[in-house]
Amino acid sequence: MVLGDLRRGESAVVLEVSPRLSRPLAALGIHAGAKITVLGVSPRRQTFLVQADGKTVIAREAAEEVRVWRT
Amino acid sequence: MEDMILLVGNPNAGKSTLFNRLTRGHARVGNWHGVTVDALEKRVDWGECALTFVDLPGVYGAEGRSMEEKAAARYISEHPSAAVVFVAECASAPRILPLAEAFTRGGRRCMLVLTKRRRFEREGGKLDRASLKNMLKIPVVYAEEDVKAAVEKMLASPAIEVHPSDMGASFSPAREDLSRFDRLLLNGFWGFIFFAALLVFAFFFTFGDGMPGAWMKGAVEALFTDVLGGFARKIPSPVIRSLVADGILKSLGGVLCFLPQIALLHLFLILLEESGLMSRLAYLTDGVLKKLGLSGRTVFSLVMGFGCTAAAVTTTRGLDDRTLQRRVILCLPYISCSAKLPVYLALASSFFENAFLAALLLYALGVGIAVIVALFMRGGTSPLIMELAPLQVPQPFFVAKSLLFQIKQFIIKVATVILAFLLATWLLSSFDFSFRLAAVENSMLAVLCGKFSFLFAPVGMNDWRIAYAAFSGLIAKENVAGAIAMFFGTFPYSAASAFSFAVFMLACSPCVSAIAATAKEVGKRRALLYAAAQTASALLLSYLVYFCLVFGAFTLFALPVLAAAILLVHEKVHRHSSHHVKGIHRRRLRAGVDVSAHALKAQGREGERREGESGLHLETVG
Repeated sequence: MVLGDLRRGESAVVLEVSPRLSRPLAALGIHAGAKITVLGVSPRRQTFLVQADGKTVIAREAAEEVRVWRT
Repeated sequence: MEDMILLVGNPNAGKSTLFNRLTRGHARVGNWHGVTVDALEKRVDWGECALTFVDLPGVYGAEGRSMEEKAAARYISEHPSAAVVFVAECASAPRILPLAEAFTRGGRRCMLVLTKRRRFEREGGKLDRASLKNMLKIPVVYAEEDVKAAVEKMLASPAIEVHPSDMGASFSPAREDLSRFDRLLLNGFWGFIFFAALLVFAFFFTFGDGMPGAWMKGAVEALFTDVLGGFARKIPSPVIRSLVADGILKSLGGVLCFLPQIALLHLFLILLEESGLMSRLAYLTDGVLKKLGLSGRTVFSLVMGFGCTAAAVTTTRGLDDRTLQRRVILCLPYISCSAKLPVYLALASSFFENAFLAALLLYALGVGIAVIVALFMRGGTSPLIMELAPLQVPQPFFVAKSLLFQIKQFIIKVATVILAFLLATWLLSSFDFSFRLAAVENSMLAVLCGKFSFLFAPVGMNDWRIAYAAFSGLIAKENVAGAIAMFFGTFPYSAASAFSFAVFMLACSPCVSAIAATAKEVGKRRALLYAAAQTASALLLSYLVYFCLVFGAFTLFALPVLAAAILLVHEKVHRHSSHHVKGIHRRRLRAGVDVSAHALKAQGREGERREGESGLHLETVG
């Protein structure tokens, strides 16, 4: 599953991030092995608010490129 | 001996605040990731030597993602002998470790300043400073401690390479949950209701009858017309009486009376940014803005456009790619800046009894046109990835400082550029070529500008003074209100003409400051092309609006023709831009030249700002 499939309040562990987004997301604490929690989902699931080592807003297209394991 | 010290860290870590403290500078601070878009340097006497502090835009990684991040990272690499003060929020201290490792390769004197400690500890976070210091082997201080002493210690230390390991038990993150208010703001339905209500409140507070904005405006008007005007009318000499009463008081009063409302507008923008609401707005609007070919990240630039178009253009440097930047720059002139406010309100009484509704209508119209332009220019955009700024009560000191700065800038602009222009206008419109007092119809200005009266003839104003007033807006939009006040007092034409003129002012090219800011971002040729296209299409739009108002629905058949004309003009501009970019890119690749330096030279950027090889705009403050 991908980050875009998670609902508000759900936690997961990041398994893999696509190469094109790995650097910008790693700088915000979203990398393989990181624990994340979805704090909010905008209308029509266009953007996600994720808690990693800070609160990060991620658009749907980017969320689709982050493979996660729901915990 | 002279040393350079770079302030490096993530966006919104507190670098600019620290810079202001160390140098007594006035770097702009705000609660948004990307406020600093230029490098700001200041030379400070430090004991027996001089130090140059450089406040850089925030970086998340050594390579950088947005344009100013990449330029900042390059700047750091190009100054290997400069000492570095790493600035990190306590809550995101682990993020500074990869930056410290990357930027100290080869050895560098450095230290770490930790900011926002109180909020971090209040939210349950824990940080073992001693462990961090032992791991990094560099001075580590909190921002509220004696940073200057730590800087001196750093400068006396040898250069080192930082090799951090995982922070482990020395760092415990703050609470993850959202406050109740934050949950409301980030809710799709209630969030939009909140921001819409905030917008209506801001407008009503500023423009509504009996509200503080309107009341303060009336007070300033009374000061100019009754008090100062009374003194002016007693001046015996007719020339000096005309100069003071008509040249200075009437025209300047026509601009300065809007200062309270402009200040209130800036106050709302400052509060929006300082409180952290701006990043919540970006989160909520990203989905909608994506459909227009923009992104949530552009919300900061678009909202800043309500304050000043030139400043908003500069903030587009924080965007990820140039095509998105150009699209936003094309939309910004239609976002009515505070300088257009005097023009709208001067005209509003001609077509609306209620100034609040008139201003709301014109602002909404501007946003509507910006949406249409964005749709025409629509293209792909990289996905939004952005840190959410913390929600906080704006600090009164910072709000007051920012507001006073905006008020000061406005008064300086009025007292210099606008006063000079209006005095020149008075001179040219009060004397003939023999320098004898003359009626305005026989003045030098009438002879020079008489041939332009046709420009607004299609909207019922076959008057060179209207054309002159319209184009005086190129220097500063406030000039238009001043010129109208000087020539006419109250606007003498019909409601349809007044509204059409307001539409022209809304849609035409921004002032020279904004054109200059645009030229710095996209090149002189492109900036002038944008300005010419916007002015031409604004004129056509004003004609169409007038015809619709006077002749009714019949003229709506002209809409597709005008839409096609505007589309063709913008497509040509966009295609020219793409070909120009491809041409530059091919030449760069063949020549193997540094991208940013070549682009800077090609665009012929000159002026007081120094151009660094990294492509970063450097500003030296006294």
